[in-house]
Amino acid sequence: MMGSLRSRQLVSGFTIIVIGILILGILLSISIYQRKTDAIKEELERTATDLLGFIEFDHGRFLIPERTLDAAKNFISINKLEEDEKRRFAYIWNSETNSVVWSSLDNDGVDQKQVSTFFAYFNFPKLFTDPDIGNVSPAAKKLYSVPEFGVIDPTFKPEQYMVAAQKFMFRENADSQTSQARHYLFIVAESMSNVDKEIDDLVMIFSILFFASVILILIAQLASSFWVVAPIREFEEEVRSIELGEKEAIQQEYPEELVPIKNTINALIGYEKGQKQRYKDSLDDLAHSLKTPLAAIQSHLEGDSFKDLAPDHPGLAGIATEMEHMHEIISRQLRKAMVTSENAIIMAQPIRPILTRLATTMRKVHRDKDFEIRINVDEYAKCRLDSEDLMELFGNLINNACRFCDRLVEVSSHRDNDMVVIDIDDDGMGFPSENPAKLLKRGIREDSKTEGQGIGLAVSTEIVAAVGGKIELLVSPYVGARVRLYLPA
Amino acid sequence: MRVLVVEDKAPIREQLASDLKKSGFTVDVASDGAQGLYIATEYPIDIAVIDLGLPHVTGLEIIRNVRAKGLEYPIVTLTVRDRWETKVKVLEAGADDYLVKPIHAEELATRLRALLRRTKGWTQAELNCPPIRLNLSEQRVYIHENEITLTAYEYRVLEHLMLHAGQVISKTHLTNSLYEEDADRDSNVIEVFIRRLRQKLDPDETINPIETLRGRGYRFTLDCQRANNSA
Repeated sequence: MMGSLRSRQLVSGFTIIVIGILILGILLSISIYQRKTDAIKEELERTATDLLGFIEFDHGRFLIPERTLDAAKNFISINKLEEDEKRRFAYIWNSETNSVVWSSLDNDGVDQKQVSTFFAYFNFPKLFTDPDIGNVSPAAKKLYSVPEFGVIDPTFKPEQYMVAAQKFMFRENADSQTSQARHYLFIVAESMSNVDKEIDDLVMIFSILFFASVILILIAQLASSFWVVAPIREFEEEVRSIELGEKEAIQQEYPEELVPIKNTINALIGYEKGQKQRYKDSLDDLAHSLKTPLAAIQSHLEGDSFKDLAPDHPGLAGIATEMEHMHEIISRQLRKAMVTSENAIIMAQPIRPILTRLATTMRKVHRDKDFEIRINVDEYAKCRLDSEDLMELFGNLINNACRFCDRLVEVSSHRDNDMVVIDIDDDGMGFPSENPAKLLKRGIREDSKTEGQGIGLAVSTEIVAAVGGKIELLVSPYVGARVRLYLPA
Repeated sequence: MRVLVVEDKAPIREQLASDLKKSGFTVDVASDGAQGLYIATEYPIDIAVIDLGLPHVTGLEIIRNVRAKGLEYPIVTLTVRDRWETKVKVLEAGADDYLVKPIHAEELATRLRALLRRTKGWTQAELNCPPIRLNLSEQRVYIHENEITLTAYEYRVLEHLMLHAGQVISKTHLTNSLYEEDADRDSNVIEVFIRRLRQKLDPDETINPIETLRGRGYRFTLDCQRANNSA
């Protein structure tokens, strides 16, 4: 999956954006939660301070005096300290009696049955010793609730509260130093479930926005990747076309980032072709410059200068033989050098036009012979072979077929996977029954002589082998020879 | 038969000319493409041998020019490039045959004769016009299957007339086919050769093989078997 640039771009972009949104969301949630918590804490501390202002301790009891009772009730109502069960409440805890001695539900006495319904309890002994809980003003902190005093309840689920608490001590008789001092804990608490719910709602909204964003980002990413990667994909297609021999160079216009690569590839292809052409030209010139003096020497030998020597003079015959030999070597090496190497970038050539040209030529070359050449190859048959090599290959093989046929030469083709298979049939005598494959090897040795079909087949074998093809000698349906070629399509 | 040899390498050109003369051809030579093109298009030659790699004008250009002017005489090309690409290109341009250097004189002469014979509609190596039979490769002539002896010039005149059997051949045409362009010509020599040929071919004056058409030329009158029955 990660093999393509498009998938890499998609995955990397998508991952970065998703992680970014997640981190942003988490930070936002934490920040909101923290701010909310701080706000509750401040409000509870303020509420606790204000509420304490209404409460008096008189003769061992906590109560709101009549003169401020209405204002206090109003305050309690406004601050919602009496409505929701265990959501928001205030009470005073007596550590000695281990009981609630005043609550925001009832100024005048405490119904202990209501206590367990409306209030949550906390670890009071720990609060008494908590250094954060002062005795001058209420201080708030988050605490988890504990079960009712003395009750062991395995189903109890602790709940988090923001608790504003202040500890203080009163003597039952304020005038008497001997009366017993009692320790009290003033509690104003609010359940954090409200905040949790708000945060949950926020997370829900955030999640919806997140998924909507992800979908939009995904669409944007796809559009972006198509826009950005499309030229690379087209570039890749063109390079593949060159590899398949369908194009000679990269021709389309590309974004400026790809232009240097395009120029470099085209330059390499051009250099390879130019080098191949220069190589061919050099060899052609070399062969020309060697064969012409050879022809001149032969003319001298056959000329008047040596007319007094007998034609079978051993010196003359030896020179003539060696010259023939040299001529053969030059021709063979030239042909071998002309054959395109297997790794070269070759444009696929249509076969039919070459066969048609050769058929016309063969009728001229073998004009004394009454025979027919049939080309059963369609216009779409192509093979990846240099056009000159293709001409040389078919020229040799069809010329052999024309020489040895009785009345018919037929060329046909079909596709076999990534190879094009071409049969060259004739109705002549066919190949020798014993080891016909040796015909393919004849002439490969540099000092061997040429005869019959040997040289044409040997050259053809070299051309076919150079491009990774195959050549087979078979029996044609016309009982003559069939040369079957497998060439890269 | 008058053959033009266009070859820029002097030893090869001279040897080809010498060999072809020995084989009974009348030879004109050109040492470059421009000269070759001039002779090929302006002189009444019967066949041309043209090297492909020529200075000034290439062999391929000469062939194309000759064919463009409607001249249909056979052309054999000489090349060192033994590739089918070259061969196909040359034959498509209008050449009739190709030979790869180095060239053997006998092979060249044989090919030239075969081409000449074919272009005149003869499909066999012998010109058989009973009772006269002419073997092109051996350059022998038979009457009633008895060989007669001809001089080189007599043979050339007879071969030319028999290859063009039924056609009127002018005296100028015959002279051109016998002599090179710069040769010293005798105006009466053709009449002499014709008279000698008549004496040798028809001493009893019974078959009258060569007819004189006053003011127009000569015609070989015997019926010939052009089809290849022996093949």
